Amino acid sequence: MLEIENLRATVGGKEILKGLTLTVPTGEVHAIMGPNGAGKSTLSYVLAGRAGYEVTGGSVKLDGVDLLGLEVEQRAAAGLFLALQYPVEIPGVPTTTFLRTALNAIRKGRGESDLDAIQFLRLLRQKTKALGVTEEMLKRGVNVGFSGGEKKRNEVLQMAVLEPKLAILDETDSGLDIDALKIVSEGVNALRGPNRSMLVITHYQRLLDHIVPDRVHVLAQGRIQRSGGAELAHELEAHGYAEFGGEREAAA
Amino acid sequence: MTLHQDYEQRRGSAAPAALTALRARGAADFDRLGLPTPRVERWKYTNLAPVETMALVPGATDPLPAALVAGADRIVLGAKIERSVGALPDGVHLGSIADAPDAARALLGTLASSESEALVALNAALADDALVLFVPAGVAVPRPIELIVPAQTGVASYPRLLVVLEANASATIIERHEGAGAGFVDLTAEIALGAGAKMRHWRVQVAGDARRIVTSAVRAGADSSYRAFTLTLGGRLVRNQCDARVDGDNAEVELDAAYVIGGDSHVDTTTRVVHGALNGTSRQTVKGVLDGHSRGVFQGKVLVEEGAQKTDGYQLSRALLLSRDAEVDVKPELEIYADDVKCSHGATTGRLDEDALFYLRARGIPAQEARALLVEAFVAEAIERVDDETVRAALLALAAGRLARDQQELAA
Ligand SMILES: Nc1ncnc2c1ncn2[C@@H]1O[C@H](COP(=O)(O)OP(=O)(O)OP(=O)(O)O)[C@@H](O)[C@H]1O
Ligand SMILES: [Mg+2]
Repeated sequence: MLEIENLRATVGGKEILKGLTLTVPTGEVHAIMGPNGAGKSTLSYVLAGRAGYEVTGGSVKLDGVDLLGLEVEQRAAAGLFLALQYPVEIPGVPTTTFLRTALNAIRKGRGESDLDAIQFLRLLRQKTKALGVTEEMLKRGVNVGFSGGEKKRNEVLQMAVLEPKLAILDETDSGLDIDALKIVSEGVNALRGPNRSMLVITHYQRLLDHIVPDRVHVLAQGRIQRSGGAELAHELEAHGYAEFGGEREAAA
Repeated sequence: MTLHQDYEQRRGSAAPAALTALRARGAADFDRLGLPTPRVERWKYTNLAPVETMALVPGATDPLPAALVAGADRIVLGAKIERSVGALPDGVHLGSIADAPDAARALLGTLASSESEALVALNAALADDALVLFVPAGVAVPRPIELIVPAQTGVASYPRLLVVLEANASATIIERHEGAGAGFVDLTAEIALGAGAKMRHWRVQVAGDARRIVTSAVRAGADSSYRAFTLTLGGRLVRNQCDARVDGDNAEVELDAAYVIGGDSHVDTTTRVVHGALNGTSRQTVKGVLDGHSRGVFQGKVLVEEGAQKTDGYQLSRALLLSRDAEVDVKPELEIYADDVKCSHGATTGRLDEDALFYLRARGIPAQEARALLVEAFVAEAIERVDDETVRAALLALAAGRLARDQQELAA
């Protein structure tokens, strides 16, 4: 279970999260929607521990563990996974090497032994098939020369391999064509389960037709302004974010 | 004994008659030039003052190390030439200048000029012998030849190498600079490629306290191909300088290098490629990883002579600084006197990509391991230029070993 309490954070000296409270029980999928610049990606980075995002108040716990006191890699070992809105290209590091190193680091944290190259390739082959990630893509440097949609699929592949307790998907649907959206959604749905929570950040109702959330939250002006069931997404699609104090900072 | 005292003592020593003229000319030039100071433009960033005052003692012989590439022939270019060489094709000469074919002897001293380069002059003045690889027309040397160039504490050595590949001949040389001792090595290599000849010249320099000045002078005939790659893993002071001349039409010259250094290492890569013929290609990528107080230098000049149309010249220098105190000086230069050419150069100096680092860590990879992955990828990309799979694998393993050592030191 993810418990965020009264979280405050600044970026470049500017306060972006202003007392955000949110709970995602184990086994549930929650969606976060909200206007551009509301602080959605900021929230995901603060949870992942990215440098430059300074927490000035509040607490975050994952299954009782205080995440804010941990290094980035320790949070991953504790079960956090963040699918980035803009995945990074890493020339020279093949995706297979990257993923095997990551998986073995995380397995070590779980007290499990390393997978050797053959065991790992078997596992990887099984996971890639469903997501349409090709062998050729796996040999290339991480995300190097990948199209926008391929990068997003690669994020979901990583999630499938690392099997986190909590997955945060930051606009994983952006840049996907209709077929890819289906493939990715199916990949995500396959990972839903009683031991895994998900936080799905999106601008579009479309994604939530495929990945039906247990709860939907509206994040605006650094706080959760409203929460509801899956139907809230439809309402937002129809009316926009005007009732939450305008679309832009200008209204604050 | 200082370098100059050692020089005075050795300049009259015995050497094969074939070297008499070279030694006399070298001594006259060195007496006139002396060691270069930073006031000499080409030596602006590399100060040889510490070489002048090194404490030198008479040398010992060096044992033959294991081969880097299985089955390679090995020769130690130390105080005494030691060798383990299998049968070579008819007409190939691999040995002293004393019994080398006339065609090779005639070229000694004609490619590397001692007139303007003091280190070449010093080498010429004191060379005890010159190792000659002569390959007659159309012959391919079947195995790579490993030349081991040791550095030993207190020893100054002046190895001399002459490679002559006649038309359509081919050979691979792996030059291994071994020895971590505080010695001085001043090597001069002259390489002449006939029409259609192909040479691969791979060089590895181990870490340690050695000071090494390595000069190569290359002349590439029509349709020939010369590719060199240097991997430097350390050294107190290292300068790899190459003068290459594209002398016949359609020739290709590639001079690449990668270095991984830390501490007080100083590694200088200085090149000058002169295009004197049509449709030549020259490529150069130099990548450096610098930690501690280390310093890297890249001076690259591409000169396209009048009439050398359709020349394609490319230079790239990339440095990765891992510490605040590491530094690089980069000076690329193009001098073009022909109008139909394609030449470009670029240089970047940066730190590890923070976004990439975050991404790796966010997937659970510990910070130190993530850093090592990124650095290794940076170096591996340069080593990819080596077009021999076995050698490439050996170089990748050496670089990885060097980086792993850094990791251990960090952890300790
Ligand atoms: N380094 C920074 N310095 C100052 N402000 C920043 C910095 N980084 C982000 N911000 C600001 O923080 C606010 C929140 O950005 P964030 O990326 O979290 O928004 P978002 O809700 O994810 O928007 P989108 O829907 O467009 O992805 C924005 O106003 C942005 O300009
Ligand atoms: Mg965002």
